[in-house]
Amino acid sequence: MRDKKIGIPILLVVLTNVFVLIGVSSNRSGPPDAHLVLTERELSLSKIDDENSGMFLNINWDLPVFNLYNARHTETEYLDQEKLDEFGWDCPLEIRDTHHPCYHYRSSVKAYIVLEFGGEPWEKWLESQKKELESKQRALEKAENKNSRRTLEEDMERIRNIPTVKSRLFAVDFSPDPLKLRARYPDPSRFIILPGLIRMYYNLLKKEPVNKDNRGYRLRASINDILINKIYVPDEFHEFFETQVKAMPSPFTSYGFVLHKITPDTRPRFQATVNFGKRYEPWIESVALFQ
Amino acid sequence: MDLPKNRQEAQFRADRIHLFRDELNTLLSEKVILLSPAQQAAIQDYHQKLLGQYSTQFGTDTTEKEKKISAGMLALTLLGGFAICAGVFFMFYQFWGYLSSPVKISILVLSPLVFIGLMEVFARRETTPHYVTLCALLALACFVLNLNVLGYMFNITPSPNALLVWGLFGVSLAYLHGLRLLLALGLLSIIAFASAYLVTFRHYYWFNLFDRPEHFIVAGAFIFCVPFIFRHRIYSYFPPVYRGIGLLSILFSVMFLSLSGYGSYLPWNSDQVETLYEFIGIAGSGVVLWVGIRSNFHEMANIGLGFLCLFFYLKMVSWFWDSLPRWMFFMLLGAITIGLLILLKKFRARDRVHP
Repeated sequence: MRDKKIGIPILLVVLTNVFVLIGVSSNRSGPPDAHLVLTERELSLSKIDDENSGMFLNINWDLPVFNLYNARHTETEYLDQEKLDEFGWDCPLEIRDTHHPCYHYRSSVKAYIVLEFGGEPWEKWLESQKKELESKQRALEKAENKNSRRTLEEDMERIRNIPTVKSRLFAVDFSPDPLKLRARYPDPSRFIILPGLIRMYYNLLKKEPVNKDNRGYRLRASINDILINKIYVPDEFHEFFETQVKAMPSPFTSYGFVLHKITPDTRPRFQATVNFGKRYEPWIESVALFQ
Repeated sequence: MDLPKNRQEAQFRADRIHLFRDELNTLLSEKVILLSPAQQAAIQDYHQKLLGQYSTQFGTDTTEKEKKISAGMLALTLLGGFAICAGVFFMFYQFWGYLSSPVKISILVLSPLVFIGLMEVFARRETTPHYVTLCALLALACFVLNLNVLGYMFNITPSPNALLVWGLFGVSLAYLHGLRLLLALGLLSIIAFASAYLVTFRHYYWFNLFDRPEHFIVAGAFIFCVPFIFRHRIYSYFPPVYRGIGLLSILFSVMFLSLSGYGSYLPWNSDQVETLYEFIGIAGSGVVLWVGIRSNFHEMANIGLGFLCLFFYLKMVSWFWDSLPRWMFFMLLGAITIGLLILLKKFRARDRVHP
């Protein structure tokens, strides 16, 4: 009897591993869902710590709103009924006050996020960068203090240089149905679909006239993160990164870049061809020095 | 002569024999009963033979000293086991970057199987469960590492199904050699999976499984009921583990909801939810304690008593901590406790008169 019972844990280990590897093979079979060449701007080399010899590339993405310190924005527009119906969430779009049971429940929802490479969001980001520069210029013209002027000039220099290092991946949409998203954004060389987390929350809605009786809260969504936010570097590419990439000095870090080290001549050190499979799980096909 | 089915039953019988011997000696010295030398020798020989058999077959402790050493060995097994498991994890992560993918996958798949094999070797050679438990813990740790690393290597979207598989693995190892620790770990993983799975029904991300404590109540209730549905003839010490883990899952969730009602499914505001769960917690703990005492389920009685005290103290803090000076608060707490003691003493005396 014990000999038969020992088969159960053994079978569990074997079958689970077979199932996982079949899933991996299925993800990578056939034409990929997306296929892009990304640079170090979008994929920064990550080393977890000295006690972990694994190597990963972090996926850097953002919303198309400029921020000098590269802090990622997460807020999106207010939700509409169509988007809410897609998620099948049974809370209303607007509530009167914070006593509503939906107000406090803020768990993350799994959804699929569309990241666009370059295109309109990049142009929008460049616009917001230009506005930021103009704002700094106006502040510089009014500044009287020498230290303030120096700080503003340094900030303006950095703002001018940031486009050379900024990731061109921007979140543009989300939905629980990835097939609907692919139908909406069909170009596999420009749009990546990845599983991610959306947090729905109620934001105070400003109504006129402003008084304590005329309040309301409107549902909004923030893209918390993508679930696969780093891609494992296969063993065959480790030497490339260890010997060629790391030997080159660079302002790029694990999660972005060091602001004061950026110059107009800063360039990424490498580029990687990344595929995203049927299950929206990525893998690195090849790597090369940046061209 | 009926042989015990497992080590626990053998140890229980061995302990009874020692107690019987001590009491018999006292009765004989106080001349309450008289036994002829032949009768005493027969009892002595019979018990000696039994204890020898149990020691050889089950590794039972035959003296008080052996028992103390065994308790120390058990503590060392647990500490050492968890330490080695952590060591295995960190060691793999230190060196995996230097290994090729086929080698990595081979190590990951084979390591739990190797420890299952070692478990069998020790089970045949040893009468005590310590090495078997160590190997089982390592097998489970290697299986957890196996799926984690495959997930990293192939960039797989995290899934709650891993919790189910780990849970089933732990439970299957437990039933192989009667290992309570593996059963407890397996059941905890299964409860976590059930809660995570229920969370995903509404599209919420499974990792937020602790946001809805009521799922743990449902899963805990199911685990609690298992030993009432499936009789355990061989491992008669497994039902307390099921009942204990099930009750802990239920009562911790009730306690959490009594402190913060936001995660409840009930269509009321958080204050109303917290009040309801406070009531359920106190009444429920009392019922668990009562049933545990009546049915002789020690783990139920202990858990019921523990949570009753916890709910009581939490309620006292919530009502009186801000409004009373501290000395008065603790005096009140002491007075209520002594009042309960007097009440329980009266119940005990009444129970003796009318059993």
